[in-house]
Amino acid sequence: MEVFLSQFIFGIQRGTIYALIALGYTMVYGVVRLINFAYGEVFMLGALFSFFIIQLMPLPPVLNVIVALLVPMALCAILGLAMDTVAYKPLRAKPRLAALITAIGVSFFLSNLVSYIGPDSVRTVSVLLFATAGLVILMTLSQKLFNFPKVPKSTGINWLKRSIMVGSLCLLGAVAWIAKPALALLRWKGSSFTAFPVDKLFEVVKYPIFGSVYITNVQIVIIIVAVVLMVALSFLVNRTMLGMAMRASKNNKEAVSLMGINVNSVIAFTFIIGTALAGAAGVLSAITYPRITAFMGIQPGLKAFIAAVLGGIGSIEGAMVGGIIMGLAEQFAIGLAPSSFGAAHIDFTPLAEGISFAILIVVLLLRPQGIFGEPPQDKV
Amino acid sequence: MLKIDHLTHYFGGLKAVEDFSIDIQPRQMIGLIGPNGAGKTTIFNLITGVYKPTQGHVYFDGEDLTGFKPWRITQHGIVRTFQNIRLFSTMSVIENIMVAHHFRMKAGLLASILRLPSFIKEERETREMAAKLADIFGLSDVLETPAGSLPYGRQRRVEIVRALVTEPKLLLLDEPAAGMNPKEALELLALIKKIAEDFKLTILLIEHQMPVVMGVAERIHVLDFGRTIAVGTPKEIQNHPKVIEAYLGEGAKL
Amino acid sequence: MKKLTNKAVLFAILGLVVVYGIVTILHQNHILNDYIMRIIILMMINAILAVSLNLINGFTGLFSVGHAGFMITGGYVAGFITTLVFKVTAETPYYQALPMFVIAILAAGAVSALVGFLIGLPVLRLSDDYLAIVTIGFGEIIRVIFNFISFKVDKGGWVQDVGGPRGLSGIPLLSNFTLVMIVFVLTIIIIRNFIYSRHGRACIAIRENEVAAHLMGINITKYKVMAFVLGSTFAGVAGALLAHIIQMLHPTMGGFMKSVEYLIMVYLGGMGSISGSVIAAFGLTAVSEFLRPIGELRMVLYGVLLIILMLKMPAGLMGRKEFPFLVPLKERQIHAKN
Ligand SMILES: Nc1ncnc2c1ncn2[C@@H]1O[C@H](COP(=O)(O)OP(=O)(O)OP(=O)(O)O)[C@@H](O)[C@H]1O
Ligand SMILES: [Mg+2]
Repeated sequence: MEVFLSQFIFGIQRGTIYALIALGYTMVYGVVRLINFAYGEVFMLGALFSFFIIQLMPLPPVLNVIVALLVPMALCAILGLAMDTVAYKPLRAKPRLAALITAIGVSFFLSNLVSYIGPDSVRTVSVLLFATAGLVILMTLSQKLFNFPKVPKSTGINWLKRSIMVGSLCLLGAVAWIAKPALALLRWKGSSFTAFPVDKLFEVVKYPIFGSVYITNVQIVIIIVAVVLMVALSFLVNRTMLGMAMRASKNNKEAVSLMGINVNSVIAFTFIIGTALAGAAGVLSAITYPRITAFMGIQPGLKAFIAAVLGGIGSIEGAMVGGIIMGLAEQFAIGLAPSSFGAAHIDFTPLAEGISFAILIVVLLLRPQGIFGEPPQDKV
Repeated sequence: MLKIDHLTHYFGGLKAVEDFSIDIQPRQMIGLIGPNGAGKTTIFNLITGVYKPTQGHVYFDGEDLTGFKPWRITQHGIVRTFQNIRLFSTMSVIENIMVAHHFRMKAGLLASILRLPSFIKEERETREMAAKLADIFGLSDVLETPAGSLPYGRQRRVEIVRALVTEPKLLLLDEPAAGMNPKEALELLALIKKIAEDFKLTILLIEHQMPVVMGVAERIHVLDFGRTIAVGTPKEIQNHPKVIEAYLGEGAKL
Repeated sequence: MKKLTNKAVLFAILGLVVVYGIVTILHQNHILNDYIMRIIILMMINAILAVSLNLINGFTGLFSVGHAGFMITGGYVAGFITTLVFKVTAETPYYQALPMFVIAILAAGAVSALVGFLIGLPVLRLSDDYLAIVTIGFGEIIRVIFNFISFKVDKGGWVQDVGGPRGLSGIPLLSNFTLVMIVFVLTIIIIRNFIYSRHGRACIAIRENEVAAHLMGINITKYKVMAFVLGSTFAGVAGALLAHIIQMLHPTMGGFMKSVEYLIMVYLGGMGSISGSVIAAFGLTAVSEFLRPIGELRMVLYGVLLIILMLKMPAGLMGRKEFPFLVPLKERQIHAKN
């Protein structure tokens, strides 16, 4: 019983984190039918931003918790917007697969970039960014002066777009150049991960609730934050104009745009909200499992996706319920798997990790549309 | 040969087809007409297994085909064309046609990979047969053009040839003359009629242009809002008050 | 007309023989050192992987992101067979080891095919996104499973753990230039002949318009599974070859990251072009060897490459074009006219 209860608490905590990421998957999928694979990386970046904020900005308690959560969320939201603008928006009219592949590219790029960047290499990145900016300028000039490579006269050069591009490349380059000392804090080359400085946020307090079962203040904070975010999201989706536009875009994009709503901004907002939630999940997760690596997002990203499929992709309640179920299932499997079996001493814990994928397969076999989803029917 | 019993289909709350019954004898050519959204295409989708009917049954040669997968229904000898053309656009016209002969061909995986003489021979025969059929529909000059780059009228013809090479008994044509002027449409229908005789085909035809369908069908079923409002010979249909009423809403094409 | 076929194919065969001869001679005279030979072998292995993935993703229009999972499955199967079953070591003479290795390669292909079938059958009935996610998940399951499978092997007095999280090491070096080249050429021939048969046409038709293919009497699930299983089989074979050249395996090598590398090869070369996949696999393998000094930056660039490809160059290098000898005569006439 005690074991069960403590596993249950851990499971809920794990599940809220999956649910937060799953919400991003499900909302974007609902509106544009795109699986944005990069949520795992946004999750990782959320934890990373939080790490830097805590390390570089000593703040009074409570305030530091809020700042360490909200600023990464905002940064992740900006990243989400950038992702949509650069990588997905140009592909809206193309086959869905193209955007899916791009999403994989984005995910691959972000995790490997973060893994690559360190105090030794960041200046290389900076130089590369400046070089790209230079290349863009050169190309623009050669287009303007010699019309090479040949561009149709009608297309012309969008000067505003080019300037923004060069400007942001230079800005990023400058940031990367200055960031060297800050990156010295990251030491995952040597030890393969960097510890998240939880002690600068909380002093962990355990509250006994039943027998030897404890709940910590960290767990309480995580669960409360997650619930607040989900309630806020429900309010946004069900009670505001923006939410109405989102739900309407799901069913009929033409009708929505006929009503004078810019579908592209609705989609952009969906990305912003989804990435902000994934960023929050990253921070919350780093507080509980205080180790950050460049590839820490892959597993939670995948599992959250499975949670979204389990709940019924496209359904917001589905993502929440699916996330919690996944968290519980995984926690119980890992917590209760026999670590030795009979005389053979076979350790089953490594297999328990695979429970989420087993769930995926079972769901796809029995009810591919998930718990809250509707069966699809395509028009001939 | 085709017998449909009390077929009903809902899309959510929308009753797209309601209590539709039909009995088609071999070698008949039957027309199916009705205003936009009457449920004609949905009936084709139900016969060919794209949708499972909410109620009712589809029998073909005495066998109950309700709920069969589309490919099995095609292999039983029912094939269709599409109102919104569905060709394999980047494949050439001849390949489009050959694809449809797929399940009549025998070459196994091993024979294909080893390119055994039996495989080569079958490929050649299929290619020749496809070319011959394409010729009847005036497609000889575009055999090697990607199907998607043809003008609409010719794409519709490719669809018909593609359907024919499956060697069907029953051919379902969904507005084969859409987008053609009445003269072209009549020409195409005359051709279809001739093919039907040569190949001993039974045909169920959806057509929007009344004069066209009047000229070829021996019996016409008229649908409106999913319900059958009239059945009869072209003459009877032409003067049927309900039909006139249904079509008047659409600008009285009669 | 018959002559034309023979000419293109004849040139191709001649070219192969010449290349084979030159490389072998240069190697024997130590002009091409072992390191270069190793790169050449890796190029061909990656080409097998890219071409077989192209059969799934490019020709049949499915979207598998788990190719490395099948590759590593084959690698482990073959590795276990040569090291644990046949106990091949560095001292075993090659003529004795070769038949055992061939058995191991065949077994690797068979097991990967079986796994592909078991995964493909339920999933391929669902829409395309699901295949993507299930194949990614599959890579993870594979990692979990190979983390779990380990053996205790008695090595003359001391017990050694084999497999598990440590991976599998001490695999004998059995993949040589001749063998890999034979497998590579066979793969190309088989996949090319498959594509230009009624079966391949069915696959392409599914890619072009699934509903129409279905309604033309093609059992689409069967053909999707067939393409998927065939692709997985070659991935398994390639994995067996790979294991016996890099001589070690690790559970993580079957994961998402590795699969994306093969995806990039397919999209860079062009979806639906065997020639393109071969060119891209050769090119990327060679380039990434030369980029080795800049290490992980390579992976970052791969990510950028994939994004740029999709945004700016969706047809890849070759589009759907092929080298003439990869297209049977009849089809080649069609290509020529377009
Ligand atoms: N997949 C679907 N989901 C929901 N509603 C559908 C679907 N397919 C058709 N409908 C609806 O069912 C009704 C019948 O459609 P159907 O396409 O059968 O009409 P039709 O007689 O072929 O019309 P048209 O002459 O325009 O081709 C229409 O109201 C249509 O909107
Ligand atoms: Mg219709």
